[in-house]
Amino acid sequence: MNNIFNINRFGRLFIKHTAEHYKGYLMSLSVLLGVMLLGGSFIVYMIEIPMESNLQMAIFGMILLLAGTMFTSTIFADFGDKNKAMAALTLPASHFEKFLVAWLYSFGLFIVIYTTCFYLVMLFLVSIKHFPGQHEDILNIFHRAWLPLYLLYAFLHSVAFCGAIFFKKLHFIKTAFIFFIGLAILIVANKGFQQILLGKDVLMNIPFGGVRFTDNNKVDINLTTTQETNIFLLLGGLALIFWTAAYFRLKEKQV
Amino acid sequence: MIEIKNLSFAYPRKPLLFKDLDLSLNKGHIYGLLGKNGAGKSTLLKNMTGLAFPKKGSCLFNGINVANRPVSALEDIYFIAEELFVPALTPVQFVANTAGFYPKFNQSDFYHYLKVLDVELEAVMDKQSFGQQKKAMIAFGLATNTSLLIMDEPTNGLDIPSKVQFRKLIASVLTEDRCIVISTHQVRDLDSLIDTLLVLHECEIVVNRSLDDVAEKLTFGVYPDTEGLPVLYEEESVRGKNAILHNTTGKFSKPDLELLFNAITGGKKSVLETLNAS
Repeated sequence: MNNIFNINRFGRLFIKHTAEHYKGYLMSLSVLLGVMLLGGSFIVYMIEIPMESNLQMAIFGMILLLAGTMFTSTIFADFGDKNKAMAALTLPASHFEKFLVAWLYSFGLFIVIYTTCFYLVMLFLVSIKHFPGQHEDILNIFHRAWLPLYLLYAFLHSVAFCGAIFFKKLHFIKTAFIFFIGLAILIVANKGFQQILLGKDVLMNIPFGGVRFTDNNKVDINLTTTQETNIFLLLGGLALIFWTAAYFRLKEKQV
Repeated sequence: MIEIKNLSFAYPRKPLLFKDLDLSLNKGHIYGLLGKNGAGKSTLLKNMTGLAFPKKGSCLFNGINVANRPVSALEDIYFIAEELFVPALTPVQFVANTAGFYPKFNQSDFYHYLKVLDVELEAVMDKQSFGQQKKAMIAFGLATNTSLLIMDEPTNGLDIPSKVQFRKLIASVLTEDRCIVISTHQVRDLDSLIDTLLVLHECEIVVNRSLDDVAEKLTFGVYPDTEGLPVLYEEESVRGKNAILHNTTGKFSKPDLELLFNAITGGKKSVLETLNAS
């Protein structure tokens, strides 16, 4: 067990990682805050209505998915550089501990810090422009309705996490390239499969989503709420598979 | 301590670098690993530290397969690579964050080595010259007190006074429980330091002999004329002929490692046959 996980050693590794990377992380954080403040201020002054929770949610989700995957793509950068990889791989800590530090920083800590920044910026934004009779409304990210977003983020994080350890450089670009190629293939395959299944021409649709076809009238068959929930749970399951793949890739890493 | 059995290794889409290589390294020795460029010295060291995995065979450290990189092995091995990475920290900060991973690390030794090697305690390492970075990491590696210390071209980038200090330090840290492996091109930097010679040539270890053993079997010297002598290999030099002779007298001469290396890698089978004859 001591060769797999030791809490003291994990703590030391976490501190070491922080000491060696905190400057870069703080710079990334200030860029994130800058984007939120500038972008948010721009939106606030452009729209003539209060920033409602739906818009806040859309902004929260988009920046989370983009910034989160970009940051995650850099988390194993040390393992892509030969000299850094030798130091990282020979450091006496288990692969699981090294994996966990990277995962905690890019997933757990990132979500906490990102959410804190988002709330601080939103508090500022809703207070800089007042509308008559406006009730200052800030979204509640702990609401159950947000679970699909977190599951989607978990899935995209796991893909970026895998890409971070699989590729040696240009992690984000290469991962995004393969992801979108894969997605395109899946959409085409999904259409083909639905056509075979229904025996008629169907329109392009989201994989594992509903079916759309024209049969005198345009017909949309959508998923039920339960089925949609299951699809998001499937994304959570896929995230677990990709995280596991990243762990084994780390174990197999050579210089 | 290190037991390499039947090890074959190749990089992806490249021919085999080692084929069925066997090697045993024991504690209490300083091994000098020599080989031509591209012979695979660094790769062999990486196999010993779990940074590269063999295609076939195994590399065991105290009975543990290093390819799995278990913590119990990693905390007793320290590897100083030829091109190394230092974080943007001072040696004091680095040791505060990293020493805890090595159970036998000795902090006072570390500061002593830094002083001997003339490395500043409060200077950020990645802002220093390559030589200073290397000396800081050598000081750290020595202070870890790991049973196995592996160094790849450690004297590259060191100035002459630092090389002298390095040799003194290495000689001082060798204990009966420690094994030191040094890979180098610069034979003359280390010929007074190593006690066992390893030569990697054409996919295999062709020499694994103590220098006493080498001196017992071969005689090294400069001769105005070698006619009539049992010459195994010779090179012209300004002082005469640098030659390796079959030691038939039993007298001891200091091995000229560069000459020996040239003889072996130049294909002089008689030298190897004499050396490896039981």
